[in-house]
Amino acid sequence: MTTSDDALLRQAVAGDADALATLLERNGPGTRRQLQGSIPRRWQAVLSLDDVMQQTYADAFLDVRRFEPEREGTFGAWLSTLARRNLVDALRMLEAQKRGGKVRRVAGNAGEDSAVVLLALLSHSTSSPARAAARREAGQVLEQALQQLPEAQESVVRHYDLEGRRAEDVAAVMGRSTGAMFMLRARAHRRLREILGSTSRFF
Amino acid sequence: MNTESVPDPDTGAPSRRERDLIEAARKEVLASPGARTARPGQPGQPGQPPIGDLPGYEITREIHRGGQGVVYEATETSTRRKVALKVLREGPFAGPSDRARFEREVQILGRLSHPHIVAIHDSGEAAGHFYYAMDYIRGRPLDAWLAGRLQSGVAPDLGETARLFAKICEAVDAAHLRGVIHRDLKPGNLLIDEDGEPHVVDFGMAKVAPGERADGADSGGMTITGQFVGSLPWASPEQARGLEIDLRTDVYSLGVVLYQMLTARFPYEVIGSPRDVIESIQRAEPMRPSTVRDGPFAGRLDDELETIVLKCLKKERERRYQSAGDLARDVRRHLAGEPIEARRDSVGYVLRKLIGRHRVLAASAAAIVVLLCGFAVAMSVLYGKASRAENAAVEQRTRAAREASARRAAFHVLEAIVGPDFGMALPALDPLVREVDLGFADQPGIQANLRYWLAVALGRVGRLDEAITQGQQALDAQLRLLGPDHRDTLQSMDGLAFAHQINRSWDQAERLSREVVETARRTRPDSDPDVIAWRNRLAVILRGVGKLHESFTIASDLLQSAERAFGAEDQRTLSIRYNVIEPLLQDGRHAEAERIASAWQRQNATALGADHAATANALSHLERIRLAPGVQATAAAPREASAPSRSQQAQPQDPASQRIVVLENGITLLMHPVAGTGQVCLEACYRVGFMDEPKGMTQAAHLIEHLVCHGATASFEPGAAMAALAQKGMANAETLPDWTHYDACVPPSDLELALQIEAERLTSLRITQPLIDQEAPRCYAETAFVERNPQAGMLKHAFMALNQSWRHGQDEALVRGGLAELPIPALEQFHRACYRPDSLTLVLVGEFEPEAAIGLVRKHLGAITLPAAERLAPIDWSKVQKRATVAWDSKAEAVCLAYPPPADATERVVLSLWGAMLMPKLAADPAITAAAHMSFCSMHTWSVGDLPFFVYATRKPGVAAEDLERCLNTRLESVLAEEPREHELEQLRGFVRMLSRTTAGLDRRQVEAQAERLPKQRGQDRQKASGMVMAQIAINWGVAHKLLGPQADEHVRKIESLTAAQLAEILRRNLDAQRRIATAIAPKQK
Repeated sequence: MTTSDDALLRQAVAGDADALATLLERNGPGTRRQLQGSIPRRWQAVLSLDDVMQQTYADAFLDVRRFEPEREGTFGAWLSTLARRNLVDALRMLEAQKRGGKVRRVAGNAGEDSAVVLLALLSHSTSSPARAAARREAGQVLEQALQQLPEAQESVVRHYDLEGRRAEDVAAVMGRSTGAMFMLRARAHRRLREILGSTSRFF
Repeated sequence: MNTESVPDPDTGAPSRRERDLIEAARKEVLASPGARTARPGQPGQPGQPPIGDLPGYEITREIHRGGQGVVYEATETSTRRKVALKVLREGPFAGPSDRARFEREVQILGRLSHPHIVAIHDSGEAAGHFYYAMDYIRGRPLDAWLAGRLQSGVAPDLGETARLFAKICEAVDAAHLRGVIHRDLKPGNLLIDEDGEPHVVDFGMAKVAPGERADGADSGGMTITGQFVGSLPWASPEQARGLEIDLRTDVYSLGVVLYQMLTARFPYEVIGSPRDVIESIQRAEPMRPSTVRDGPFAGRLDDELETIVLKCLKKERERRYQSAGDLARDVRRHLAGEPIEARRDSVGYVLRKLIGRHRVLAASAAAIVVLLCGFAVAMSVLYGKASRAENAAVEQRTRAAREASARRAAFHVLEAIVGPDFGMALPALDPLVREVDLGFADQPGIQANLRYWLAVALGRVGRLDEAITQGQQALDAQLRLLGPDHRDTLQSMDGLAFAHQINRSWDQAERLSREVVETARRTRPDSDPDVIAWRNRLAVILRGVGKLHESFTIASDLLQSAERAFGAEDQRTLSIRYNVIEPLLQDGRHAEAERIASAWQRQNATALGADHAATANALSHLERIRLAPGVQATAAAPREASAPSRSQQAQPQDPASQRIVVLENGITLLMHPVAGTGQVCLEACYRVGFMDEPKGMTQAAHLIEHLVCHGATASFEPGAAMAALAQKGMANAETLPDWTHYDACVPPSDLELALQIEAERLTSLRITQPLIDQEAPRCYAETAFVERNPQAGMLKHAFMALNQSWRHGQDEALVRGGLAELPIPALEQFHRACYRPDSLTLVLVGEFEPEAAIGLVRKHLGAITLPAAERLAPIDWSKVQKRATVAWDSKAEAVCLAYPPPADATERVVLSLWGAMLMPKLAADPAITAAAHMSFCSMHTWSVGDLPFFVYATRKPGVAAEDLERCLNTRLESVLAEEPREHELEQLRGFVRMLSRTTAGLDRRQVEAQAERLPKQRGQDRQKASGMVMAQIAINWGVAHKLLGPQADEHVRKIESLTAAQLAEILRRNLDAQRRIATAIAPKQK
């Protein structure tokens, strides 16, 4: 007997990882097909659809409880949205990395270096007692937020953003392609913003 | 249950690879050794209760995850009843305090029994997980419920809303009667079931009121005094400050909830840093619900419900309802059409309160401009309301409506007068005068109050004769109605004295002021804040008429009262100190003045510490004495004591000591340690003559900020109106929260060097009275606006930090983060309020290619409307200029300069569009202009990151397109005309070394030697400007260097290896791009 997607979804939302895996097996191939051919040739050496799909599946395990059918439609549509976002993130960062090169990191204006700047700035006391206090608080908040990330996401932020290692090195350390590393990083940044944002709004 | 994978009929069977990927993802998320506990959305992790493991319950799903616990929907297996299970979030890892709090919640809920309070059925512990079962409410939180009804087209019903709220209050009252204070009342904790009945939930933060014991345990042990507990946006002032709370704290939160129900918004801004929100809670008066135009009941709210909600939201708890029961009863009375108990504050009370709060604003002649701009909009409103009241007078309830209208009118007047709203419509003032004359003849008390405020308003727009007439009429009426001793009467008399003082009719001013003081001292203690203020006025007037000895005597005596009443560090006290010193200086008694100031300084340093504001204030008086005309000889002592000369500065100094250096151009550099940071703060400030009042210090801070940041011009004229004073310390943020003009913060080891460089830089600024006159109104406006709008305050601080970040580079990320959070309407509001109406600010957040950015700027500039009567969309530049000329007798033009990054940095655009930062005469000084522009240009070459970056464009008045174009071209030519000189290169390297010292550990002596050479190397303006250009670049590179630690050495080497030709090439590329883009976006010449 086959369990319906809706039933599986209810189980998945309630925490049944097996049910979610089954849902992913059903809906993943369709999502993969939608993305077929989306990776430009020049990036195919450092990013594959497998990277995108694995990250998407990980996102699904992380976020299935947030899935709201009223807002996001079917599970398949939600999964496709996750996948497309991951792909776009990866491509954007790869493009950015290509454009920026080494100089960009030195100049400190690279997108990937924002967290370097952020943490460095947050941890420096500056203008006034008030600001200094705010900065210390913010530094602590950032650290706490990092600790709330899944381990892989935390690692990529620490290695790449905070320690300033090269993208290729970080990817190698983590056993992923560069594209997958960037995808993971984008995910981590989004989650960080969520965490930090909710803190700042007191809700 | 079969959950095996089957092929999807559409997609076919998943491949093995797909399964592998899913399994890998699952392992990554769920089986990672470092997986964290209790992360939202991660099923099956440690720390989360195993689903179905709680005995007797089948968990269906997670409903809510809060800070303390997770709530699940579950079924009680024995009864099949649906329940809500709250499980302590951290499970077996929960700390003892969490467990105790959880258990206490169980006990509290067990004692509460009310149809509108969620009931508890069971509690226990399983496998280390504490839980309890309660009613499952099939419903939605109050806010979602209200929003849902609106969306579904259900017309909001005021009576129904009030009834629902009354039920909520009654439930809370039931808890209060059992000594339980909820402490976390908010829409999220008020569930509305399918029948529309409310249920108060989540007593996890509840506290048992003193004297009550819910469980026999110590009721006060769960919180620590000073610790905030609750949800900030709904917190009462005492709660937000971590003070002791009581039942009235819940009343306040209920007031916020009611406010939201009536208006769909908060009573004040609650977005921003915790500090901003707390500030709002403490100080911001709630906007009256009836003035919220987009609320569900817009235009339908009556006075009574508004009075009820405002009574709940009183900052002083004594003025609120004393319990939720009282509140519920008043709401029920309102619903039954009976008179409510709550009453609005009397006009007199509000007047006094506002006078107290805005005393400085009211007393400052310079505030004329602010009021000029802020008054008339509300006048229009007032006039409209008054007219409506006239119509209502036809009806039976003439008198009641009249009173209500009068109260509203008074409120509008007050709000307008103390408010910063710009976009004035001056013509509304005269109708108001007529309305007050004719429309309130039968309300003489209210009429007198209105006349008083009319007098203030008229005075501030320069109509002094009319102001005096209105003020005299107000005073006459109050003498008749209230008697000579009444506080309102005395206030009017004092105001009239002030008007005469401004009008230079000294005799009347002195006579009135003396009468105020004599009457007040006869009937009130000297410690009365009003009495202190009135006596202070008399001291000032006496000084004005030359009665210096008496002025000094009063101020000296007053000082003691003020110190006792307000504290030594209070702004009012510091102001009185000024009035003690000033008559002595005018009388030539410099030594005596110096002795007093020295004594203050010693006394404060001992009692309060060297870095306290009052100590700094005393030091500043020493400096002022030194600067007084004709005291050059005696100045040496205090200057040496507090502010070493340049040569002395080069010597090592104790960084813990606070010092002040007054520069040649009147700017004062204040240096003091920042408590607890090991760093020393350098502040620049400027004291302007007309800013005598305490608030002037803050306003002066803003002024100097503008001057320093925007670049001053013309020559320094040491006029009497701009006596250079040091007037501020920044010991703690509580004392002076909005003191933002700070300039540099450095490790003590770099102090002397930083001071020297900062002094160099600031000395190059040239300040004139016209410039101050031009900038001051905006500074006032900003100050006033920020006080009332925390969000705008954040924006303002962001702008200020941006302005300064080109040198310090430390706030950039925070600033960007802040800007990214701010909606465009907030920016518009800010700019309209703080800048002249014909200027505007545009901040675009996102990534843009240069051309796209320019297009966006044009589009947005066209879409943004000016706050004047007519809309100008899209903006026709020539029309704007013409209109601005008519309206303001000045030229206004928008100019955007685009700065791409160095070409070798990145292809992705790093673009800033910076408005014309130029003062009118800057065109005559292209070198300085060049330096200013280059600084802002280079700021952005390192400021853009993955976080949304900004494009900032502003249009400032006073700059004509042709002036700017000429200036820009002159600048470009001058910079491009010559190769950088060797000494400039050397200067560049020196800056880099200095700024990278903290991380690269460069030789201090080398840096200092370099810095010493700087002044000598700066000769002609042209050279100076050129040097500044490169210095800014160097600083930015240096900041990047500092931030990028591991790559710093390589970076320094790279800079040091630049040849003059290479540097010139970088500059040229940069400037070429600027010119190209500036040309592209320049207004078309017709």
